[in-house]
Amino acid sequence: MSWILVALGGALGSVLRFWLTRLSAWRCGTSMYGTLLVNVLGALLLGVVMVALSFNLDEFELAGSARHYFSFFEVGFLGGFTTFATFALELRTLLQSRFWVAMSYLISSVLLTVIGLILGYIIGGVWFYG
Amino acid sequence: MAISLAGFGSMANFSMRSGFIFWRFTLAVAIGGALGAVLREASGQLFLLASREENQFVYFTFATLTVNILGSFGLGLVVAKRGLTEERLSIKMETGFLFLSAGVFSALTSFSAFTYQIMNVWVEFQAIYSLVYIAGSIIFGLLAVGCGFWFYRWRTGSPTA
Repeated sequence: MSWILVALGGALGSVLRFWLTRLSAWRCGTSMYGTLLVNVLGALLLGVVMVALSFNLDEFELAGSARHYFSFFEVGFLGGFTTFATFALELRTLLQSRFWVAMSYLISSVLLTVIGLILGYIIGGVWFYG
Repeated sequence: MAISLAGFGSMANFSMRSGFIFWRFTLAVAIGGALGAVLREASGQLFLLASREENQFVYFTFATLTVNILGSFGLGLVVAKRGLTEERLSIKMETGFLFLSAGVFSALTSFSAFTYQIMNVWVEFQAIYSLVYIAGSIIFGLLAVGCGFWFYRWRTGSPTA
């Protein structure tokens, strides 16, 4: 069951990422903005969903249907939505031509995703606990 | 155009316009994404099996690192095969390329798991170790993409970027 949910979530997340990066490559001439947006959004959603699922935490184990939500949203959807390989490939392509653009892409990717995750925890906390 | 992601940029020219090709590519990416996500979960389960109860945090960190490096290597390989050109290939070849690149290898890797592990290492150990983790992931990821390019050139003897 959980494997089917992972596959479904992965398919959905991959298609959304594909459309967003295609849109970015079409409108802006580079898929960089699409990948950055996808990764930051993914980190933000990860934080929110983790707080939402923390209600069902039972001694560090997810209980009942929360396991299925975890498989679908976190492992499948968000794992397929965000991508490290495309990021590494873009970074490598940029490093050869525009060093400082590559550096700012790297630093903004890491910083914004960490900030997004913390923000996701805060949003989730206010939404579900506040 | 050098900045547009190698091999990906050209897709925008015709994938957004005509419906049939667009949905064909989308279906290829969906199937590839499902496969990549299942492979990532399977490797996570393998690492979980190999780990002892008390250090599962560390093993999941290494599981994320491993799939990110493997996926970067695979993406380098398929992009090297397609070449860094903007020219259009046949629809069949583009579908296969997108199945592997935007589908399998992009879904196999995960930036959200990477971010989560940065926070995890920060909380469980020290801030300096999460910086080491960031640097290690990115350096090995870049090297893996380069290795993919290099491996393809070595196997086929054809020049790529």
